[in-house]
Amino acid sequence: MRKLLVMLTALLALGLGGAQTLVFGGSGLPVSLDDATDGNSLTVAYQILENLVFVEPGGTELQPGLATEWSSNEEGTVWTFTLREGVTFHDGTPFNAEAAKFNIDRWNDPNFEYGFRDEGKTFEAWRYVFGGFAGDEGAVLQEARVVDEYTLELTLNTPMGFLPAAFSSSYFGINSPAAIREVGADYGTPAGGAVGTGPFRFVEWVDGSQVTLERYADYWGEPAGVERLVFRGIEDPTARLAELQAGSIDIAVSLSPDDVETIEGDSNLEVVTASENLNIGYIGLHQANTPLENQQVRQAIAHAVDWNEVVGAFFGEGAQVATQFIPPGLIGFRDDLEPYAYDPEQARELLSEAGFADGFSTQLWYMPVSRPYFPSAEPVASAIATYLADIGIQAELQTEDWGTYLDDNNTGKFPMYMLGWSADFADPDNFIYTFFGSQEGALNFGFENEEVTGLLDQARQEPDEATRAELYGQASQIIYDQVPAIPVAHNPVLNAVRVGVEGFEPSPLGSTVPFRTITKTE
Amino acid sequence: MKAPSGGAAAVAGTLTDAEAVRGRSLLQDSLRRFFRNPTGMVGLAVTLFFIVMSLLAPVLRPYDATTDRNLRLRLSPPSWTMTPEERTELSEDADIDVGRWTLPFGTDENGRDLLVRVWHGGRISLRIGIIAVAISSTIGVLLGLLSGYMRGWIDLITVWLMDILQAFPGILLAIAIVATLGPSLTNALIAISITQIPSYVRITRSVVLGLRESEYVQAAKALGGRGPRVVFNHIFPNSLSPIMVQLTLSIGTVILEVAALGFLGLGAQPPDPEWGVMIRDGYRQFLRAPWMSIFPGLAIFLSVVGFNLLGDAIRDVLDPRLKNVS
Repeated sequence: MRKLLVMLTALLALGLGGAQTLVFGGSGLPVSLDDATDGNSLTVAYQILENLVFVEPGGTELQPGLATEWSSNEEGTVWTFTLREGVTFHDGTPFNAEAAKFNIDRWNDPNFEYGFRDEGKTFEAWRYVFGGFAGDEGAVLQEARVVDEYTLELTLNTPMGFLPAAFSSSYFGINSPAAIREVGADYGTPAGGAVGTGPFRFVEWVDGSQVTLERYADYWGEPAGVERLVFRGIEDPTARLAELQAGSIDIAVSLSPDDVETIEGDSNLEVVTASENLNIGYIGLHQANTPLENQQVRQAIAHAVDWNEVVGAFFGEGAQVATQFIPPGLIGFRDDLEPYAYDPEQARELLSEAGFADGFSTQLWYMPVSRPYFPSAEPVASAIATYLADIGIQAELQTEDWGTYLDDNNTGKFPMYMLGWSADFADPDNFIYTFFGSQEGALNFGFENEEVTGLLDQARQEPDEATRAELYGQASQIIYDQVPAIPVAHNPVLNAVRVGVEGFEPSPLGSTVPFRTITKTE
Repeated sequence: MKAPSGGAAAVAGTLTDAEAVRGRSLLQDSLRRFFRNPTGMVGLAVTLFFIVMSLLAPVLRPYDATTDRNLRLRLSPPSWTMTPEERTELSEDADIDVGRWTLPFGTDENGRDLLVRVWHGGRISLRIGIIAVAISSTIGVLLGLLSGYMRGWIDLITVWLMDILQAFPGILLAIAIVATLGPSLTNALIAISITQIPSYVRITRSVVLGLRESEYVQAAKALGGRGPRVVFNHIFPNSLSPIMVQLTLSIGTVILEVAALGFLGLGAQPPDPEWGVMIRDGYRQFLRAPWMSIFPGLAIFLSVVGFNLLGDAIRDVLDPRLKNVS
C-alpha cells in the first residue's frame, strides 16, 4: 500500500513538473491557422510558423528571421533574401528557397495549384498588403525566383520600400510545402493543423474548446521555455480576468480598462502592456447612406461629441485621442492635428447649413465584442448617441454577430459604425493605405478621393523617408478636413499574467508575440 | 381532482360556517377569503407597488434614455455605501452634489442613475407583460373554446399544433422566433406571446370539454341555442376562473422571459432601461460594479414573485375545490 502511494506521489510530481503547460486566454479561438486575418488566429499561427523577417519582441525593429539578410537594388524593385541554413519544418522537410517561393506563389498567384481558392481560401491579406494578386492592376510582386538553395530573389512591378516590414507581418508565416500538398484544403483547420519551422509544433485543436501546441525539440534557435502551450478563447474580458484570478489561465489579454484596479489589487497578478499603441478605433461614416455623403453633416457629427471625455472615460490610462489614421510612432504622423473640438453650437450650425436644422435619424452600429482598439463597445456607442441626440441626430444603436459584422461593415449597410485596426507591421502604409488606398476593397467608407489615393500611391513607392512623411501628412490633412470617418483613440492594450510567468512581451503589432521566450515557474 | 375528500370533510365538519356562508354573494365570499390570505396580500401589495410606480414614473421622474449620460459619474457605487469623503470627492469630479441618498442604486458605465433606470425599466416590463398576456390569452382562449367545443379535426389540429409548440422549452422557442425576426422589443413581445398561447389553449379546452357535456349546456342546446351563443354565454363565463389564474401567473413568466431575451441581446436594445439589458451591461462589469446587475436583478425577482403570489392567491380563492380550506 505504502509503495503504491509513493509511486503515485512520484508520478504526480513528475506529471506536474515534467509537462509544464502555459495556458493563454485570448478573446476567442482561432478561425484558421492558414489564410487568417484575425488576431486570435494569428497569435496561434505565429508560434508554429516563422516569417522571413522577425520583429524585435515587444518592439517594431526588424530582425533576421528565416532570412538572415536582405537587400534591394537602387530602385527598390529587385529584392534578394539570403535564407537561414539548417532549418527544418516540423514534418522533417528542409527549409530552403524552394519552400519560400512555394509559399509566396501560393499567396500571390490566383491559379496556384495548392492555393485551394475554390475551396474558400482568399489570401485577402496578401492582396491588401501587396496591392493585389499576380495579374491584378497595381499588384506589386512580379516574380519570385530561386537563385540557389538559400537565395530568393523577388522582382517587383513598382518599388516598395517597406517590403521587409511587410514580410514581418504575422500574415506571412512560412508553411511546409509538403504538408500543404498532403493535407490539401483542410490545411489550417482543426482537422489539418499547420506545419512550420517555429519553436512550437501543432498537437491538437479541439474545435470550440482549445488549441494545444508543444515544444519543437529540433528548433534551430533557442528552444521554447515551456513544454506545452494551450490557447483558449474566452469572449468576455471580465470572465477572462476571473479565470486568471482563479489560476485556470496564465495570461489574459485585452482586459477591460475598468478592471485595472482589480488586477493591481491582486498580488498574484501583474499588469503587462505594450510599449506603443499601434492601433486605431474609429467611427466610420459610410457615404452610401444619406445624409452622410454630405461633408457638413459629417463635420457636424465630429464636432458634436466630446472625444476627450469619451476617450478619458472608456479607454485605458495612456490612451490617446486620435486625430488621423496613422498612429503616433510611425512616420508621417502629424502631431499638429488637434482632435475635433467639442462644439455643439458649431455642430448645429453645420447641420442647418447642410439643410438638416431639425436633425435626422440614422443608425450607429457597435461591435458585439471587445477589441484592443475599443475595449468596450456598447457603452461608447451609447455615450456617442447621447451626444448626437443633443444636436438632434437620432442614432439608433444596432449590432449583429461579429462574423457578419466584419463582412458587412464596408458594404454600406451600416451608416455609422465602430471598428478599428491593429498594426500588422510598423509602417503607415498598413494603416492609411488599407483605408484610403487605390486598391480594390479599400475600407474607405465610400469616400473616393483621387487626390488622396494619388498621394498614397506615391508615398508607398517613395524611398526617401522625409518625402514619404510629407506625402502622408498631406493625405491626412484632406481626410481630417473631409471626415470620411472619425478617428477615436489609440488604446494601450491591458494584459495581465500570473506572477511566475516571465518573458511575455505584448507587441505594439498585436499578434506578433513570440511565446518562445516565456517561462513559467509554479 | 385535487383533495375532494378533504374539502368535503371540512364542509361537513363546520356546519355553522357553511350556514354563515350561505348569506353572502360569490364575490363577497371570494374577496373575504382573498383578504384573509397573507401571501395573497403580499403579492397584491408588491404588484400594486410596481403598477403604481410604473404609472407615476413619467410624472415623478421624467426620463429620456437617449440623452442620459454623465461620464464623470460612471461606475459610482450606491451613494449610501460611500464615505462622506468619497461623496465630496465625487461631487467635485462630477460637478453635482452627491448626498447620502442621491444615487441609492449607484450608476452604470455611462454614469446613468440606476434607480431611475430600474424604475423606468418597470414600465417596459409591465407594458410587455400586459400586452403579451392580452395577445396570448385572446388567441389561446378562442382556440381552446373552439377546439373543445367543436372537437373533430379542428380539435385534432389545434392539439397537435400546441403539442409542437410545447415540445420546445418556452425560452428556446422565443429565442428561435426572435432570431428569425431580428432582435427588438416588439419581436420579443411577439415571440413571448406565441410561447404563452399553448397554456391558455390547454386550460380552456380542458374546462370546455368538461362543461360541454354538463346538463345546463345540454339544456341550452336543447332549447335551440346555436354554437357561438352556447359557447360565449354559457361555457365561457364558467371557465373564467382558471383563465384568470393563468393570466396573473403568466405576467410573471413574461417579465422573466423579456428580461432573458434582453440579457441575450435579443429583446430590448440599448439604451432602453430594460432590466435584462441592464443585467447584461452589469455582467461586463461584475467584478468592478456588482450593483449594476444586483438592482435590476432584484427588481425582476420582486415583480415576478409578486405576480406569482398574487396568482396563487387568486387560484386559492377561485378554485371551488379549495373552498373553506384556510
